[in-house]
Amino acid sequence: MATTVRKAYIPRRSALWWTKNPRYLLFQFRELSGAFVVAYSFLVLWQLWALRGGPDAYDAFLQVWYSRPMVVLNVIILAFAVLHTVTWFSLTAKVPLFRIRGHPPPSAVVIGANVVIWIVLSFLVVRVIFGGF
Amino acid sequence: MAEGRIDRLTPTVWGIFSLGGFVIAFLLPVFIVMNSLAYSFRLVPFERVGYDGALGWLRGDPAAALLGSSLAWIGGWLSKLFLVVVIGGGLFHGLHRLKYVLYDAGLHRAKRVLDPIVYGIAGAGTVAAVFLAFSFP
Repeated sequence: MATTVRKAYIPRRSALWWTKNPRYLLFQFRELSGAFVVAYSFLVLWQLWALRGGPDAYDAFLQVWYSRPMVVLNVIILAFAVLHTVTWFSLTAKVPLFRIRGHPPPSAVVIGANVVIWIVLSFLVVRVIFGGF
Repeated sequence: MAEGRIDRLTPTVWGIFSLGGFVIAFLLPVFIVMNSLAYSFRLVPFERVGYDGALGWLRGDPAAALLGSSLAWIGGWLSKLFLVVVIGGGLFHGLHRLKYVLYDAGLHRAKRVLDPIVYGIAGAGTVAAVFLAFSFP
């Protein structure tokens, strides 16, 4: 019986494929924002844990929390969080949840509405939950 | 997955991913600014972020001051729910995304192992957030 040798096509992809094109780079940065969001969630859990430890534990925590490297890290996390916000708004514009006279709403309108809600919600959080500046 | 069975898990985790995506898109930047950077950039005094300030925040003092004494009880619920929603949303959304980054990096064959780890961490973190946040008076 004749045997056939199957020669499978195995696509090769460089591990640095995402550096080849600015669009790929933005995609990877957007996906990477997930890591920073997760990191911040754990940082806040650590903060709550320290707060449970009492005044001395929380003071020790604050020494680290407001140290220079931590502030730099938090600025980076904020930058990724804003990247997530902006890319998420432009993504929701691509998924029409309703139609106006048979047409999906223009993406500029959806993104604009999201930005307005974002500003209003942020203002409310600062004012109501955090008591303003 | 057995033949012919409807996959309900995939749409569910994508749904939670999407919900978390909305929550953190709207709420995470302002939370990072207020919780991590406001004091560093001298926008609020130390009393607001120190031990007593943080406890007062969890008790909902700022909201209570704004809403008046009859609605003061809402304040504590607001800060605690805010924490749980942001932490839980962030964990489920971010870890789901990370999972696909790991798939992209060549771990797509490890789906069976990766799925329970990723959503297990997200679930455990969310439960921890609920217990920690609501453990304060």
